[in-house]
Amino acid sequence: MGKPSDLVQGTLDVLILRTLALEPKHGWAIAKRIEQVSREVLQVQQGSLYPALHRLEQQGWIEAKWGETEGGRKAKFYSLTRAGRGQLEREKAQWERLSAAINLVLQKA
Amino acid sequence: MRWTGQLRLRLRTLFGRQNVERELDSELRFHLDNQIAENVASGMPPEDARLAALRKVGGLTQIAEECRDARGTAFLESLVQDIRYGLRQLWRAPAFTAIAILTLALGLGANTAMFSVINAVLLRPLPYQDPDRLVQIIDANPSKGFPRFSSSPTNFLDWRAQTQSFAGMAAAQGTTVTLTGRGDAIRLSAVKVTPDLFSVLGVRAIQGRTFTAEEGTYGSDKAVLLSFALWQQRFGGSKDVLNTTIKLNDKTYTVVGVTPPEFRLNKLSNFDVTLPLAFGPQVETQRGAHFITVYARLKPHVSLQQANEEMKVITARLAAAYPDKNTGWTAFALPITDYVVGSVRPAMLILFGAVGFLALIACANVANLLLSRSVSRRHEISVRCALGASRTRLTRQLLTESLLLCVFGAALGVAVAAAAIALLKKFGPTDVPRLGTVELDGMVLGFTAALTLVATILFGLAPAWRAARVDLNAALKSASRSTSGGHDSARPRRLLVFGELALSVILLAGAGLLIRSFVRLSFTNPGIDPANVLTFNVSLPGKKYSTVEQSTLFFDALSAKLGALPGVTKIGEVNLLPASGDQWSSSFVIRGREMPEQNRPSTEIRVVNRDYFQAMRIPLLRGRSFAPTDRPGSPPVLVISDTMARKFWPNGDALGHYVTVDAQPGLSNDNTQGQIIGIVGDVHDFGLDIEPAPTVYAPLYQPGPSDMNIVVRTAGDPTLLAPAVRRSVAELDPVLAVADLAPMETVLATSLAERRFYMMLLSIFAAIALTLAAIGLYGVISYTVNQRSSELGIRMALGARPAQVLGMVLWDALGLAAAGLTAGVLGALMLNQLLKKMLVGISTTDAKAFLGTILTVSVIVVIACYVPARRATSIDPTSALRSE
Repeated sequence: MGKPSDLVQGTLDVLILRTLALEPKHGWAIAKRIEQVSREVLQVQQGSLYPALHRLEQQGWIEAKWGETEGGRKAKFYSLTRAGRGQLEREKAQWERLSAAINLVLQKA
Repeated sequence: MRWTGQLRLRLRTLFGRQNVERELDSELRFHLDNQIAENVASGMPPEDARLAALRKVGGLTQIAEECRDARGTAFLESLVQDIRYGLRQLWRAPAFTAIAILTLALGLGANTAMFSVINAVLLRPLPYQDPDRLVQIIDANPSKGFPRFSSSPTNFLDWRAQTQSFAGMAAAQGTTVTLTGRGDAIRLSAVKVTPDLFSVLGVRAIQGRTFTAEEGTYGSDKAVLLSFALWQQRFGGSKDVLNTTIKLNDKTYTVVGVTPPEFRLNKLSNFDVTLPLAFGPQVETQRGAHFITVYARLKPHVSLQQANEEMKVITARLAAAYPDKNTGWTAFALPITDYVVGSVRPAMLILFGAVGFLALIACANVANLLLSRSVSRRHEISVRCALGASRTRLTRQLLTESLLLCVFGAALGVAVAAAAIALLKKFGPTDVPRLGTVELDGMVLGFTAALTLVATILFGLAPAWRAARVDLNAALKSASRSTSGGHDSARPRRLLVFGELALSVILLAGAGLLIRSFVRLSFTNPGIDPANVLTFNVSLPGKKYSTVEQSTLFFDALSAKLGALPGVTKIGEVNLLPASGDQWSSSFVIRGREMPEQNRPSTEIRVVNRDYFQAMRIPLLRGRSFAPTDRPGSPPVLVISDTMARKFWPNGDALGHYVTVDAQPGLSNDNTQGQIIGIVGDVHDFGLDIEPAPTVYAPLYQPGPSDMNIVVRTAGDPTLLAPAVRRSVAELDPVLAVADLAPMETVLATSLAERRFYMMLLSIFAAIALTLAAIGLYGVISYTVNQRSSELGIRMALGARPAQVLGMVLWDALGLAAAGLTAGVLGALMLNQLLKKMLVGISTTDAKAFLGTILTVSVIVVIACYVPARRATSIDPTSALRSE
C-alpha cells in the first residue's frame, strides 16, 4: 500500500486489531502475518504500520510491552486491550456494512 | 479505564521523552534488521540486502516523525520545546532580559498594588449582611449652610415610629471613655449604639452576645462590648472576661460580649468598646440637639427613592409640628457604601488611571526592546524559515518568549507589589477607609495574571508577527543589520516612544498640580503658631467631678503644675483643638436683632482659658482678651473671630454688642452669653483647606466642659515635656488618662496627611514613568545612530564636522521629543480636569506646574539624547565604510 488515505488508514487499523486478536505480536510479525493471510496481496509498509500502531496505542485499543523474541532479541510486543476487542467488533461490523454498500453500488449502478 | 492509560502515555511522552525516543528508535531498527535478515535469507549479499531493506522501509526519520505525530502529544511537545528554547535565548541575552523583566515588574507590580488597594477600599463588600440594603440617614439644613449634619435623637425616635420603608433603624454616637482598674488609666475610643444596631447591620458578637433591648434603656445601660483588638490586647483573648465588670469613666459596666474584628461604622473604624446608647428623659425637650448618626435597613421591596420620598414627607410633618426646632431641617438616605467610600473614590480612580499609564509605558518600553531584538535576529529567523519552519510555529515561538518574559516580570512584580502594599499600610493616611485591610488576595493575583496575558499579546504579538514575515532572500544575503530593514522598524518604535513621552508628561503635569496645591496648603497660615507647642487631652469622669467648681479646680491646679515646669511659657485650654476635625456649633442671637429660633444663624463655639490666645499666638485684632477681672459674678464677656465680626457686623462695630448662644447639651443647660470685648484672628479649625467658620470664644470659668485640650507652649522642643506632663496629671489624680499627647505641628500635619499621600503617590508614578520614557528614548536614539552609522560615517568622510553630525542626530531626536511633549501637554490640559476636586486654590491650568513639567521633561530628554548623539560623533568613518 502507498501513502494511507482516510479509507485505507481505517482499514489498516481493523487489520492490525484482528491480527492481534489471538496473541501479542511485534510490528514485524504483524506485517508478515497480514501479508501471509492475505496471500501476498496486502503488503504493509513500515511507514504506515508504525504510525498506525502508535496511534492505536494512543487511543487505548492496544497496549505495548517490551519482551524477548525466540531469537533472544528485545522487541516491542503489542496486544489487544479489552476496549480494543470491543473496538474490533465495531470496526468489523462497520467494514462489512461499508463493503456491502459498495458492492451494491457496483452491481446496480 | 481507557483514559488512565492514555493519560499515562501522554505524561510519559512529555516527561520521559528521551526514553520514548530511544524505544521508537530500537523498534524501527528491529524492523529494519528483520527486513535485512529476510533479504539475506532470500539470497542477497549483505550489502545489497541492507540497501534493499533501507529502500523498502523508507526514511526512518520521517517514519519516526509520523509516529510522533500519531502519538497526539505533538502540540504539547512543541510547546515544551518552545519554552526550553525561549529560556535559552533569554539566558543568552542577560542585559536585555534583565531590563525587560525589571520594567515589566515595575509596571505590573505597581498596577497590582494599586488594584489591591482599590479592591480593599472600594470593591470589597462591607462586613454587613446585604450591605446594599443598608443606608445612612443624614440630616441637612441648606438654609443654614449645612449640606450634611448629624441627627437629633428626638427626631430619630419619631422617624423610627412613623416610617414604613425601613425594616429597622438604629443610632450611634462616637465618644471616649477612660478605663481604670486594670493597670494605668487609659483613654479608649468608644461608640454608643442603640441595641438594634446589630440586627439592622446584621452583625453578631463573636463571643457572648450583643445588647438586649433592656440594656438600651436609660438607667439600665450597664453593659459593654469589647472590640476584638482590645479583647486580644488587654484581656488576653480569654473567654473568662465575659460577665466580669470593668470601670469606664468611674462607672461599672458588665462585659457581655466581643464584637468581630471587621466591625466598624463608616469613619468610626477603630473604637475599642461599644456601649449602649440610651436616651434619657431630656430627649423629649432637646429636639434641637444633633449629635447621633442614624443607620437603617430598607425593607425588601422598597427602593432608595421611595424611602427618600417618605423621609421628605415625615421631616416636613415634623417641621410643621415643631417649627422652632425643626424648620429647614430635612433628612435623606444614602447607601452606606457611598458614604464609606464615596469621598475617596475619585482619588482612587485617578490613581488607578495613573498607574495604568505607567503600565502602558512599561509595556511600550518592553515592546521597543523586543522590536529591536527581532531585527537583530532576522538572520537567525530566516535561516530557520529556510530550513522549513512554518510561520505559525515561528510566531508561536516568539510569542512564547514574550510570555516567558511576562511571567517572570509578573512574578517579580508580585514581590514588588507586596513590598509596596506593606509600605502603604505603614505610611498611608488613616483617613482612607479600610486601608489597613489591603492584602494580596486571590482576586488581585487573578487580576495580575489577566494583565500579564494582555501585556504579552500587546507587545509580543506585533514583533513576533513582523519577524516571521521576513523576506528570506534579502535577510539571508545581508550578514547583519546595515540595510533598510532598520528604517522599517524605526517607525513603530518612534511611535511608541512618542506615546511614552506624552503619557509621562500627563502624569508629571498632574503630579505637579497636586504638589503645587499641597505646598500652597501647607503654607497657608493656620491662624496659630504651632511651633514649640505640645498638646494633650484630659477628660474628667462625671462621677468624681460632677460640679463646675470641681473641674475648674482641677484645671487650675493642672495649669499651676505645668506652669512650674522648666521652659513652659504659656498654658492654654480649649475644648476642641484646631485642625482636629471636631465641630461644635449652635444657633445664636444678637441682642437687638432677635429672631425666631428657626431663622437664627449658627456659629462655632469654643471654651478657652485666659491664656489660650497667647499660648497659640492667635493675634488679637481689636479690643481685649479675657482678663483676671472676668470672673463668675462679673458681667459675662465673649471674644469672637474675625470672620464672625465681618460677617455679622460688616460696618466694623462688633465690639460692645451682646450675643446669646443657644444651649447645647454637654456644655451646660444655661446659655452662653456675653458682651463682645475682643476680636481675634481666624483659625482654620477644620483643616487648612476649609474656610474658617465664624467662632465665638467663651471664657472657661463660665460653665465649662469636663473634656479639655491643654496646649503648652515651651521655649524648646515640646516633645521633651511629654513625660513631665504625664507625671503632673498623675500626681493630681492617678485615675485620669492623658490622651492624644502630640506636638501641635504633628496635629496640623496629620490633617494634611491624606493630601500628602495622594501627592506622593502620583509623584512617584510620574517619576517612574518619566524614567522609563527616558530609557525608551535613549534606546531608540541609540538604535537610530547604529542604523545610520554607515551614512554618518560617509558624511564625516566627506568633510562633515563632528559638531554638524551631533547637530543632525540631536535635531532628529529632539524633534521626536518635542512632538511627545506637545501631545502630552495637550493631553494634560484635557485630563487634568479630573483633578479639580483634589486641588485647593490652584487652577487646573496652573502655569507654574506646567512650566515645571516642561522644564523637567526637557532636561531629561536632552540628557537621554545627548549620550547616543555624542557617540555618533565618535564614529570612525573608515570602519563605518568598511562594514558596508
